[in-house]
Amino acid sequence: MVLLEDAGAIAMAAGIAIGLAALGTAWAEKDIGSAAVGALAENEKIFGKAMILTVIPETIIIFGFLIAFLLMGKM
Amino acid sequence: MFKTERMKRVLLLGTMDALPETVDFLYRTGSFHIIDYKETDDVFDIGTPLPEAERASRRLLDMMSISQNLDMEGEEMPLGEKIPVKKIRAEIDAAISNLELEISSEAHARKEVENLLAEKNAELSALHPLKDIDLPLALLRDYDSLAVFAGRLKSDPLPEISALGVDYDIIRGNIIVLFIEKKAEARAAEILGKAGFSEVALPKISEKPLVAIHRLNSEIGDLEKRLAGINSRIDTLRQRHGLFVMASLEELSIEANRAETPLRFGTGHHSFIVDAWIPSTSMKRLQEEMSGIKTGVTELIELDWNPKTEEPPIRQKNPRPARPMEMLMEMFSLPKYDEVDPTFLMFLTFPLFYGLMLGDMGYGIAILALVLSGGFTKLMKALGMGGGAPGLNRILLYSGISTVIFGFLFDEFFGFPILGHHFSFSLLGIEFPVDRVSPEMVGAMLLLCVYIGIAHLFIGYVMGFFTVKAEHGLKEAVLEKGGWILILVGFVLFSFSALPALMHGGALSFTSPPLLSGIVLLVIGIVMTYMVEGINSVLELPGLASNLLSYTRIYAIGLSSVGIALAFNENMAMPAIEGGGAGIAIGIIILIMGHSLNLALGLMGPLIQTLRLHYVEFFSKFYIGGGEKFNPLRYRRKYTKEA
Repeated sequence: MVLLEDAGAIAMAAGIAIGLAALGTAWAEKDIGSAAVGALAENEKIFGKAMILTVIPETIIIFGFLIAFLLMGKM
Repeated sequence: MFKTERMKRVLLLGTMDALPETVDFLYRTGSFHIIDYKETDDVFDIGTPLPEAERASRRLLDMMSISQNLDMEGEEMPLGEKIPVKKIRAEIDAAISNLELEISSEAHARKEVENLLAEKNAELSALHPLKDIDLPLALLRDYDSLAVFAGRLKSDPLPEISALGVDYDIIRGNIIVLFIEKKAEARAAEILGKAGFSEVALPKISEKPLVAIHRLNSEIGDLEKRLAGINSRIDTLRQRHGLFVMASLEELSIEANRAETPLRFGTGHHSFIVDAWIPSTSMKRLQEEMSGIKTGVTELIELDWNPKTEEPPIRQKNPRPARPMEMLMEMFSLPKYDEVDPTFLMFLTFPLFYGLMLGDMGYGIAILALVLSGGFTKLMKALGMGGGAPGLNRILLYSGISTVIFGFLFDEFFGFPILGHHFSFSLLGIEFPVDRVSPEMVGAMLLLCVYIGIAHLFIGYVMGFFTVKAEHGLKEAVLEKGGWILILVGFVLFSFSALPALMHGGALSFTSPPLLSGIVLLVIGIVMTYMVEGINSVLELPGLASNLLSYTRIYAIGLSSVGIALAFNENMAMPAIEGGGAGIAIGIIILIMGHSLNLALGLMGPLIQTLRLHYVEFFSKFYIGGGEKFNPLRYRRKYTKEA
């Protein structure tokens, strides 16, 4: 049996883990995204590369997701 | 399959009298990727266009101005029956002068009417602030003894004006008009300036403003009617002649291009040379077909080329079903000539990842329906992305099928389990259907993703082995990519034997065979890669771990899509439906809107994430890219046909 308080703390920790990781991703992507759109306006052919560069920071939130899940496993 | 089309470097030599026929031959065969002739020497110079070039470009210019007057720029005409080239060649001159006669007068009239309209509208907007001045505007100017100020004010200058002790009159409305004796003009201007006066420009009209506004409005109405008439006549002309104009534009630009082709050749007084790449398999056929050139003498010679300094153009060669995936390579970067072409592998893994992510029979069927009904093409066109649609259609078709299959294995239909336990089976020791969102399955699913990542990266390193071997030789390949394979295997062995102990606080047992062999492999691998890559190989180690973890996005994306579906189903729609009555209708609307939204997300998310796993994680293990696309001389006809 896990105390309710513990479960609550774990749930909050999981939420914080994924929330902050999402913020990190967003922060990183905002600069890349705006630069990518600028580059696309110059040359539409680089859409593939622009898109890939833009989604690179998405790994950050995947890490947050993993941590959140490992935490949830302890509930 | 893993190699792009092999190429031969050829030189086509001929006597000048054979030039026009040779140009036709080059276009007809569609197999010559021309290398522009650049250097000039004693014998050869850069060629000059064929004599018909000038006429073709002049007609092309005429036709372009006609199409511009018909508002056809950037427009696509509905494809009708293709027009024979012969008909265009016979009729083009008459057609150009007829069309010019018919259209240029209309285009001219349209321009005039548009100019007039702009003028009248400008007058109208200048009159607007004056509309409550009930005086003919002629009375506001050209006095000998009076100065007139018309404009807006911030504060009231009247006390100061009357203190000047001269005759004045003031009309107030939306703006003020002040008449004052000429001798006081300078002083009045000063006072007004202090009161925040800003002058309003008076249009050169004599009537009262309201009368003028009324007149202008009716004039503008007339002009607009005339413009609409002209536009509708131009529309009729476009409908009648549009297809012919498009077809002749196509034919004329083909003729102009053809006539300018010798600019890419080297020509001397009596002979010319063409430097080109051709697919190796076409050599024999081309040599045979060349004997069809009747005038002059021509010869096709194979050249030796240096693989170190020269890079042949790239034509991908894949089995037909895998060809739509070539688009994904073009979007990234075409492989180099010596490199492995990963298109076929993407054909296998792309739908797999996509299906694993979305994994829902309902969404899969919806995607298939969207693709097969042509709705997806229409959607792409509406979004202004018509270019890549045909290839993307096929890719989504494969992905949709895979989504249905995985949806079946996961028992999801728009988030609802519909198979339940009525239809369960066991495969490879796993009980299907698998409820992938249940807490017991989370660990297994995450692990599955990492396993997929290990396999994917392993394949990547093997591909890299062949690329490095082709570029730098066997020794480098073994050291670099072989080393990375050892690192990958060692890292996996080490992690899987050490992680459980680390996470649950147990002690590491360094005598366990997997752990030991893992460490040994890791060390050997690091030493091997260190010999080729230096310190970089050590620095890239954490990258490998993050690459492997990155594959867990397969599950994460899947989970989010199921999560959204479940939220709509269980938290919003079902309670409404259970309430009965109007709730049923509301519930159904929620279901339709919610799942449409989730489908839109589900189309894009897995597509981008699958692409990323390939482009970033997979390709970084072996892919160099940067090949130039094989682009042979040939005609692309859409509106015309040759005899």
